[in-house]
Amino acid sequence: MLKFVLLGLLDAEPRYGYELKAVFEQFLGGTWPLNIGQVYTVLARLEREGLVECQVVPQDLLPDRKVYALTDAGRLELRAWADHPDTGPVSLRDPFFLKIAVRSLNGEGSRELINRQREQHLSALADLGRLQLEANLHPATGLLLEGAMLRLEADLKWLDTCEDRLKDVT
Amino acid sequence: MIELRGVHRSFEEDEARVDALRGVDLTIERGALVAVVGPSGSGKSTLLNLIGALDQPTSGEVLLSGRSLARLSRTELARVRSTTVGFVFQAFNLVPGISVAENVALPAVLARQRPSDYRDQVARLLDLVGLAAKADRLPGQLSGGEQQRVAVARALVMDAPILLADEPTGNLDTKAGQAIIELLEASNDAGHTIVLVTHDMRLASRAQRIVHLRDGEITNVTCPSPRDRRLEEILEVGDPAPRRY
Repeated sequence: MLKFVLLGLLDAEPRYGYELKAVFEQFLGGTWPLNIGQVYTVLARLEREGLVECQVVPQDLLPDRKVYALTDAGRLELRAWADHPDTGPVSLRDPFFLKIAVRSLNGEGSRELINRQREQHLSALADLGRLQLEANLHPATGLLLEGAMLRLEADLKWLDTCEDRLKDVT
Repeated sequence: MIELRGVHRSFEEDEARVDALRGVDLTIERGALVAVVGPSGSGKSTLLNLIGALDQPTSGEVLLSGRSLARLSRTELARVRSTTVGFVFQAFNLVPGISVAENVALPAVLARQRPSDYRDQVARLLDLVGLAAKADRLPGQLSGGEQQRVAVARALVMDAPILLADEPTGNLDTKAGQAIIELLEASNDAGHTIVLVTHDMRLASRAQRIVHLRDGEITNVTCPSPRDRRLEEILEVGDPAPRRY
C-alpha cells in the first residue's frame, strides 16, 4: 500500500525523498510513521520498475537532490489501484475480538472485561473528539479521524451485543 | 449532590404496565459531568425528568442536596425547577415570537425578576455562547446550532447549580454538536453539575462518568480517561508491522 500512497503523492507534485516523507506523514497525521531508508528503498524499486523517474538537481553547497516524478506507466499503475473499490476481506485485526471468542469457548464470564474495553474505546473516542477540533488538520487526516470515530462507535455497539449474548454466562 | 435511591417509575399504557425504571440507585457528586446512555426506551429521559422534578417516582426517592423531592410542596417544587435545575432539550424549545435575548431572559421573567436584575446576566451569557450580535433576532432566524446555544444560555440564566440536557446534540450536525459539547464542558468547569442524556457516544465520551441504562436498570458505569494523546498514539493506518506468530 505504501507504494500507491507514494505514487499518489508524486502524481500531485514531483518531490525529493525527505520532502516526500514529510508530506506523507503530514497528510496522514503521523498515523503511519516512515523511516527515510524505507522511502528510498521504495523509490529505488519504483524507479527500477519504470513507475517513477528521477532528476538530479544540483544545489549550492549542499549535495545534489534527486527529485522524483511519476512516469506514464506509474500513473497507470496508480489509477489501476485508486480507481477501484477495495475487494479484500473485511479487516478485524483486533485482538479483543479474539479474546472474547476464546473466553466464551471456555465458558468464562467477560462482563467486567467488556466494560474495561468499553472504557478504552470511550477514552479513545474522547481523545479523537478533541483532535478533531484542531484547526491545522489536513483534510485527509480529518477523514481518517472521522472513520476511526465511526468504527469506535460500532465497536461500542458490538460490546453491547457481546454483553447481551454472554449474559447467561455472567 | 443528586441522589436516586431505589427509584422505580412505571407508566400505564393501554392497560399494560411499562416499567421505565426498575430500581435505580445513583449518586452524582456536585460539579460532576455525567452522561446517561442507553438505547431508546431504556429509561434515560425518565431518569432526567425525575432529577429535574418534572416527574415523580412510583417508588423510591430522588434527593437534591440531601432534600427528598417527595417531601416538597408544589411551590417548593416549582422553585426547584426554576432555580436549582436548568433544562436543555433536543428540540431547543425556544419561544418563536420573542427575541433571542428575551428567550434567554425568560426564566428570570417568569421568576418575577426585574430587568435590571438579569440584564447583565443575559448579556454575559449571550457573549459566552457567541450570539451577542444576534440578541435581537427571532429564534427562527437562527441555525439549529445557534438555537441550541440560546437554549443553553437560557438554562444557565438563573445560575442553577444543575444543568440537565436531554439529547442536546440530537438535531445538530457534527460541528454544531461540538460547539454544544464545548459549552457544556465550559459550564462544568465553571462549577455546574451536568447530567446529560444521549445515545451519541462521542458526546458521552466527554463525561467523567457514563451510566449505561438498559431496560430501566443501570447495567454499567464507565469512567473514560482521555489522555490528550496525539493522533499517532491512537490510530495506526499503515501496513501492519510483521509479528511473530
